[in-house]
Amino acid sequence: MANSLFANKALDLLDAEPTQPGEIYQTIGGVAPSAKSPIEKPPPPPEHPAPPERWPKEVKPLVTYEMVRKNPYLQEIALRGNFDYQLHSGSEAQDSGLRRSHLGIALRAFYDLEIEADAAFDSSGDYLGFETLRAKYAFHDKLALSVGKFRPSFSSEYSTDPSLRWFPDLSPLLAQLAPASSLGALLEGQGWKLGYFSGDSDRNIPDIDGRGFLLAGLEHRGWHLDYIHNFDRGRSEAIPLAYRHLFSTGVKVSSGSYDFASEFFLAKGDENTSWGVTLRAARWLVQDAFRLVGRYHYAASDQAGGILSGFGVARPISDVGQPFQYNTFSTADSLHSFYLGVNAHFFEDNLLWGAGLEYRTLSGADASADLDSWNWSTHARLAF
Amino acid sequence: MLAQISTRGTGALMPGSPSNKKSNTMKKLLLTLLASASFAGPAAAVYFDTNAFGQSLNGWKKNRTALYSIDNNTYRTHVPTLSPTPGGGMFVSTRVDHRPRMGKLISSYLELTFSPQGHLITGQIRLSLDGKRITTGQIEREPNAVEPPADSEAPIIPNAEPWKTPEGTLVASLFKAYDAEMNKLSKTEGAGKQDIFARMFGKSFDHTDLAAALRHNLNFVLKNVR
Repeated sequence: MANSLFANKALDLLDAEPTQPGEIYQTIGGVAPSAKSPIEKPPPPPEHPAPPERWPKEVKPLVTYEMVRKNPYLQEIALRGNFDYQLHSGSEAQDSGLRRSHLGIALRAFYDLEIEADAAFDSSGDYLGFETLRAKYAFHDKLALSVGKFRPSFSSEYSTDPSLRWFPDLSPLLAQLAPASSLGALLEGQGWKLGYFSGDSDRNIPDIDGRGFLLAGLEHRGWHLDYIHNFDRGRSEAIPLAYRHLFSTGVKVSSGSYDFASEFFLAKGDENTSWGVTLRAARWLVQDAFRLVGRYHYAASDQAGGILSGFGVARPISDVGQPFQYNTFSTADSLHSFYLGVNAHFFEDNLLWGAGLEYRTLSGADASADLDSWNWSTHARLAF
Repeated sequence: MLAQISTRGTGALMPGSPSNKKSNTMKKLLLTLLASASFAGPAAAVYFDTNAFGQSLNGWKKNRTALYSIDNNTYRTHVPTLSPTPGGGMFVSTRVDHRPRMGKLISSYLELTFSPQGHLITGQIRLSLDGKRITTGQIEREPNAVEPPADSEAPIIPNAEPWKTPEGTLVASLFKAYDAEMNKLSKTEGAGKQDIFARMFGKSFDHTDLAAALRHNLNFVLKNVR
């Protein structure tokens, strides 16, 4: 009797639906909550990253060392460098040389204080001065204070790290009016910044000299407005050409493989008032590898010969003081510049090779007839 | 108060051989001593063999880390920290660092709780990646299967997957949660840029490699818990 019962049970089991994998365990105690949700397939890498990531301001550090033992005095060390070799060939200048040679260190120390020190060298390896010597402390995600010598973050093009710029050099008018790397303090919040800098300019550490200049800026969803008020007028060494008010406003737009930025500049002084516009566009020909870049730049001045146009490779010392440092330059009443080039990204933004052709036309160049020039440039950049 | 008892090496004694007769007597004496010790002490005490764990990973260095490579990537595991839990169990935490040839260090933390009998009860993985902190959350062990009463009329469902132990399920759930969190991250982050070098040579490191390294670490921890 008992045997037949067991046999029936065995037959019932054979007739029953086969147990689904995992059924037993789900009925016993349930799966852990975090593992309950079905695992989606890893999504393919986004073809085009979101806009804030498409406009980075600093290059990714490659050589970092995090302290094995956590301590409040030193948490992380990063070695930084930027080497840019350029070759320019044009009707006005045949020039080649090291545009930029920076070597520096960044520390996270003393309870998350960020300390950056970047020294500039010339092509023969001689020390030129400090481009940056800054301490930055973030009170929280939305408020940070920087103190030291650094590039005032005026205009989106100038405040972008040189290792992330699309072109071999700054737009001509921006190189003319951009403030020198100076000693100051900058308070940055979410969408705003306010800073005060010394009017002195020095290869190493500038003095607190004169009445200085004030920097204020607003930013909202790709739009920005920057303003500098120079209290020193003509006595300032940090603000060129005795400009008193400097404005910069523009937008950044990204869509698909396209990126576009426009910027308007106005520099108002007692003697020279200059204005200009820069339109920059880039398109990934091959995503993250080859990028087509183009720029249109226009600059004009109310003063005869009020626009400066540099040709060739800017001297490496331009990063520790005034940006406009060219062996060959010309003055003009107005200027148009068209640049079209290709950038090859070998290793993200850290190793790049670029080549481009520029057509530049100057009206009233050196108080004479117009000057047209074609310039071919090639540059190789290593940043870490 | 962890019992410092290791039974390694006893398996090498072969009963029956003349040279082992003396050893067998010693063994009996030792077992008696052990048995009396177990009656005197707590009911059960879990033990983690830190040295054996280190040996599995090339051995501990002077700076209390072990350096080893898996699939041509270098990792570093720190000596685990142990502490007793209130119920008589043990909490083990260790840090596994991946140091890419270029780029930032990725630190992961394995946190495991064991019952007094040495069963893995909870597991958690924390990760710090590109300034973002990721956690799998606390994954808990499922309760053991309850045997139906002998006189029950319910049909006996045979265990179709005897390899699915609660411990194995916990580990699987832990890495399932880990994968889910990493997938979430790759949705927001630009996951690996396809620059010229990446297109030519491929990326040298993927986050799946890290999962494998963590799993090897976890397996060695489990192996050395008694």
